[in-house]
Amino acid sequence: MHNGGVDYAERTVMAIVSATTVSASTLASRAAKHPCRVTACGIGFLVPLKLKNATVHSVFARACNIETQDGTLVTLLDYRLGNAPHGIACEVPDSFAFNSEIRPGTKVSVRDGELTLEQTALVVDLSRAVRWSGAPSQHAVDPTSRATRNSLAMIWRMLQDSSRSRGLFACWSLPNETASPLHAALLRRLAVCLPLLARGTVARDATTIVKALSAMIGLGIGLTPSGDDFIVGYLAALWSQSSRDATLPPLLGLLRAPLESMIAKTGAISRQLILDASAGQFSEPLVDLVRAIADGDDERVAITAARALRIGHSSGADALLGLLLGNDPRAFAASISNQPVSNQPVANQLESIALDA
Amino acid sequence: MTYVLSHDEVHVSTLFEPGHAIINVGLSAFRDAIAQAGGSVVQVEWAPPAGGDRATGWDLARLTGHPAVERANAIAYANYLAAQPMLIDVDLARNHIPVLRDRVLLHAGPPISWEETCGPMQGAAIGAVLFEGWAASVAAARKLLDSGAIAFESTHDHATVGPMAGVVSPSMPVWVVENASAGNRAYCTFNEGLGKALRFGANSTEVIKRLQWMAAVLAPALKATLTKLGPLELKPMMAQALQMGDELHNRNAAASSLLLKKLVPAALRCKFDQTKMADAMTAIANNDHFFLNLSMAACKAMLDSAHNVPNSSMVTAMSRNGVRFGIRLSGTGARWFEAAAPIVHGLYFPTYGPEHAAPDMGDSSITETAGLGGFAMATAPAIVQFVGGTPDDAIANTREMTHITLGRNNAFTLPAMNFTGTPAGIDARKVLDTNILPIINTGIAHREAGVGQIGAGITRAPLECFAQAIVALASSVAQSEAPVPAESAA
Amino acid sequence: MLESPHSKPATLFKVVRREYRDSVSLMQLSSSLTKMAGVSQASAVMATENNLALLAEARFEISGSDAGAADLLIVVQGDAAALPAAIDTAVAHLTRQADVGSSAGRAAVLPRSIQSALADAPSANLVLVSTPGEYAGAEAMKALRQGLNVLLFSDNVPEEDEVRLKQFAKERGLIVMGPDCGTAIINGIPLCFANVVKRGAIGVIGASGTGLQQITVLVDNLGLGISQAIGTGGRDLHSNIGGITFSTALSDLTADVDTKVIVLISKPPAPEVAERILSEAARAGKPVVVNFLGADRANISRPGIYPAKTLEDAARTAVDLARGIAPRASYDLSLPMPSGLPKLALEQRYVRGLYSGGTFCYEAAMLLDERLADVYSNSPVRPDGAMKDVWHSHRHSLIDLGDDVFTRGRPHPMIDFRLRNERIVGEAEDPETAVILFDVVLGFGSHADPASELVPALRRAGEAAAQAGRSVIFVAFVCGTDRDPQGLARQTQALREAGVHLMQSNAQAVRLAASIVVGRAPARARPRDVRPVA
Repeated sequence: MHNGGVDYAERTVMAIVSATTVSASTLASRAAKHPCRVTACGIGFLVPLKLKNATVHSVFARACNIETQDGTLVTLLDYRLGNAPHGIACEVPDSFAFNSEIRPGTKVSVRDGELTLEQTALVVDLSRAVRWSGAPSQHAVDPTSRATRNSLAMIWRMLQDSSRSRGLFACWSLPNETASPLHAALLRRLAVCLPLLARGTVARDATTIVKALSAMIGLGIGLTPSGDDFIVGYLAALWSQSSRDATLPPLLGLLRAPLESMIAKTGAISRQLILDASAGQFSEPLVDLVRAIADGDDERVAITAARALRIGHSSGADALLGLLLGNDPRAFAASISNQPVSNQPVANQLESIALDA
Repeated sequence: MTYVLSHDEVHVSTLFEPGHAIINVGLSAFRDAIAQAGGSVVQVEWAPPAGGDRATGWDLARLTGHPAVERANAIAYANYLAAQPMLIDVDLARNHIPVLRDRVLLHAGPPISWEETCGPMQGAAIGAVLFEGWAASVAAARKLLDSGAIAFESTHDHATVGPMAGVVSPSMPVWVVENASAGNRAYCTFNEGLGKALRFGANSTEVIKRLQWMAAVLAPALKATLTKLGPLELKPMMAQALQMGDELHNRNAAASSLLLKKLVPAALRCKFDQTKMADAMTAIANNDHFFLNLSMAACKAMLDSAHNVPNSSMVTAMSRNGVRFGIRLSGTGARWFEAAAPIVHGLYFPTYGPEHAAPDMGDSSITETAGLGGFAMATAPAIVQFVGGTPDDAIANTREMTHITLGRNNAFTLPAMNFTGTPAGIDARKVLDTNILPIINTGIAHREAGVGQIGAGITRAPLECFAQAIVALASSVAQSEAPVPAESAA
Repeated sequence: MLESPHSKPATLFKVVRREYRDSVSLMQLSSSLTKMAGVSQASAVMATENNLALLAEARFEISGSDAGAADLLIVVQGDAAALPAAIDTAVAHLTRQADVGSSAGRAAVLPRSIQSALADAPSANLVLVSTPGEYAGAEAMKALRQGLNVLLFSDNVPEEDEVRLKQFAKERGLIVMGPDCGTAIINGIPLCFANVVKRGAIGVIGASGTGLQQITVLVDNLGLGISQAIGTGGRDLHSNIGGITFSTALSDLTADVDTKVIVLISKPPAPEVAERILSEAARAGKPVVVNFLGADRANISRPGIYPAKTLEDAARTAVDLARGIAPRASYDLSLPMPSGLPKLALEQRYVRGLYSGGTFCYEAAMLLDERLADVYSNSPVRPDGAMKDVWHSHRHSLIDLGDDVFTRGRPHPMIDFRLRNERIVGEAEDPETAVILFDVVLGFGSHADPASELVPALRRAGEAAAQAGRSVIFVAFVCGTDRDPQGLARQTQALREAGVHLMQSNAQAVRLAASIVVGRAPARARPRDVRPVA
């Protein structure tokens, strides 16, 4: 998710973004004019051309969600977070915080290439923004290649690194004193759904996959619950192989309708992410990572995965876990069943559940 | 087990649910005993509300948590927040303020008769008469005013504000500010700069000449510039000035600079006498307080849009006429609630002291009413020292004001307080209940006409005004409740 | 945080609607909640279907919530007493704009009104008001208007204010304890003048503070505990107030599962109010012990209601009922005369009672009057028993030193012993004084060490009598528990060493005093029912 307080200091420079460097002082001078203008540098592929009766849905320091009449969420983003399918990446200065200026409920209008947030000084100039597509299908990943296997193993190790172990994966490694019955319940559920999803994915069996995904949607901590981020990562993996693996496009087609009805079971922000994912559109950090995997470039995989891990509190970690399962379900099932459970009572409870691939 | 947070609805008794906090009003020994026994307790630093007047205290109690007042305040406050003051024009007062088509002078603060006025205000009125050419000498002007031939009316009754004496006459140029959200307009004269000035009661030839220059040169120059520039949204400019160390009452240096930055490029493109335009821009550049009058007009426009919401206890004006301090509530219409204007405690310029000071004067406390000035003190460390305090005091002052306001205005954020909004929308009930009086940053005028500013400091709005206001509101709220409910029957 | 293996932890939840906070702050919220004392588990999650199922599986009790996927659900589990504060913290975390962090070290402005205190502690449900009486009513009204219950300690609140406050409270399902409510124990927290007693199954509603203290202390001394003790203020059962607080408290205790036995104590109420309260009590579905001091018990008796003559009887009846033992009709224990009582001179015929607790004085007057003629008091049970001059004792005199006459300009005698000490010495100098009877009240609010104040005075009194060739007998009781700040054992030891004959209750102390002088002074002609002063 894009809502965390994450700073992408070492962001790879993108042509459309690097054109302007905006500092706080330049914004200050802009604010002195009427009104305060911010330039958008990227517009997501799925952002509608017209925002009818749009209002601010929710606002965070580095992102602002705008809800349109039909419930679509378009997100104004600090460009440092990267583009998103329904995102408008804005060149805001370092210290800028959307939530110091904007409140939920603020009316939003678009006219003459300008997005105006009523009752605030903020106007977003859309005229110079470039349309950005977050389709990983152009960067085909071959899960059977050695380079891909190496990349996935590296991501797995990064997730295991206890110092940043977060989200769903952290359930395995929580020490006795911090693991609560809630974590135990979560782990018991994962112990059932993850193998199920792995089996379904190997078999390309949409029914099994839907069964597993619907047990995960809206599950866990976070504004976008962990399960949702996991599903997005999982779908990114499937889409990234879809131009190479002929069994995947029909499977993704079959999943779309169940996913669209499933999203009623989670919050609005997750809903938009999963909808975008089911349409094959993902956020820039995830697309960058997938592209690095497809290219078999170890170094870029390390950098982009590290960056993805820093999304939100656990959103990035959960998406990576999904990406691992989607890319190589067999290896995932084997690894996850070998993953030691550090919490003894939970481990005992898990023994009754078969962890098979 | 469910948990009810909202206290506005009838609910099943939670008295026996464990763990609820207890609020202790009174003997602190009871607080200590509760804490010692393991209970959670919050002590109220209590003093008799309403200065100890029992009947007013009961009126306050009846209005506390009153649904009609809460609803009204929500509306009034929302209107204040939604206001979008725009500078749309510069023009002569008579062209916009209908009452000034006749021989009328406006003055700051609640209405006052000519006989009652203090020295500086009389000096200013005499100056205005001379400026208008209604009399040729000071003596003749005074005679004319004494005769009652010139009506004397409160600025606030004509959507106008003016600093210090606040005297506005028909031929003076005014800022015309329109609130785009509600369409109401507010007016304020131009700032004359420091030294000998009409607002402090000076009326020498030099002062009158300056007024004439402002009408003849500055106003047309600004009008031409504004025509080129188009309407100017004031709130973003004010918000930015707050980030730059202004509190927009006693310090306007940043805002004045920002305004000048806006004006100059347009001014250079105007078809206007170059020398005159240069003089106009120089005058603005030399006056760090130039924006004050614009800030005041913007505040007046914002607050007028919150005015006249029946039952609302939100304060929509605080002002002083040099004799009395007055406030108005949104819910009690045009009525003023007045008390003697206090003498300001502050720092005096060398050779001056409190014995030289005129009582507090002027409409500029409209800025505090709108959540600026003393309420935004935390953002203006530069002036804190000037009024005798430390930056810590300034933050404490702003924080103290959060106890008497309806909310925080997030359009005006304070860097020193983690970019939270200024406390805004004074609730008269809270003032009375906490005995925390609204803080006002203000200049100090010499009590004799024409000497000018002799210091600056901090003052507080008198409690008495709020007590009267609550009594009046309680009676109007009671009237609006058709069938008398049980609790107000006694 | 380890949970007790036997008790099921309590769960509290709060739904925050459409409050979108980024994941990092939600995580910080959960972890800071878990670190709070008394919280074993905490979670702040979006209330999605799967999360609700997960919480149910983890045995978080969240039924009855109507939260949806767009809502944030904060759940805390652990020690019931700690949970509302945890929820407060969470809500404050979410709603308060964090300007505090920017200026660490600078004290926040303390709340100066109930409204600002409520912003600091939104879970508060009770306001304790002890301001001067002329302002107390308005403070109470502000509390009620914000949905808070009230304990009015202040006295001098006009009766019409009391009526309007209580009616307002009743309409909103709230309670006003007081005015002049000196004692309450709510959820084990002693409020105002109250003793530290065990929690248990006996709920008490009382019009008088010392009456509540006596009952709660005796229940504690007898080995049981108090669920809740609610003070109503002395006027609640007057006809124009009509027992609104009694009635509310009765229905609250009726609904309270922890309360098994209810005790009502008051002076005799207005008859129509008594009738209504008693019929409500009879419908409580749990035994109700009634002590209307001095009232005819025959008029009180009805199924499920157990009249008690004295405060001690009420406490003993309640304890027996709570233990499932059939209560006795009377606990008038025939106590043996203590040994070693000094020989009294012929003219030493009278009991002089010097009370700090008004209800104790009234009960003493009632009990003494049953056996002796010429009983006078400033808190008389009969009109002809009123003292003509409260500053000078006459025959048997029982003086309530908490009376306004004595407290004007000085603290209550439970805190300030000067007046009573002077009077103890004065009574000892009176050749007609046989027994000096007094109460010692411990607990929160009372003097930190009453024995240290009393013992020197008792010594001076003994010396004064000895100089005149007499001895005076000191009879007293201590209303307190070992967990009171003053310590029951310490106080009793010091008083015994000073030669005081200590009894367990006021009733017992009065009976001992009566037994000492009976035969020396004229007895009441024939035992009769005392007609109370209305």
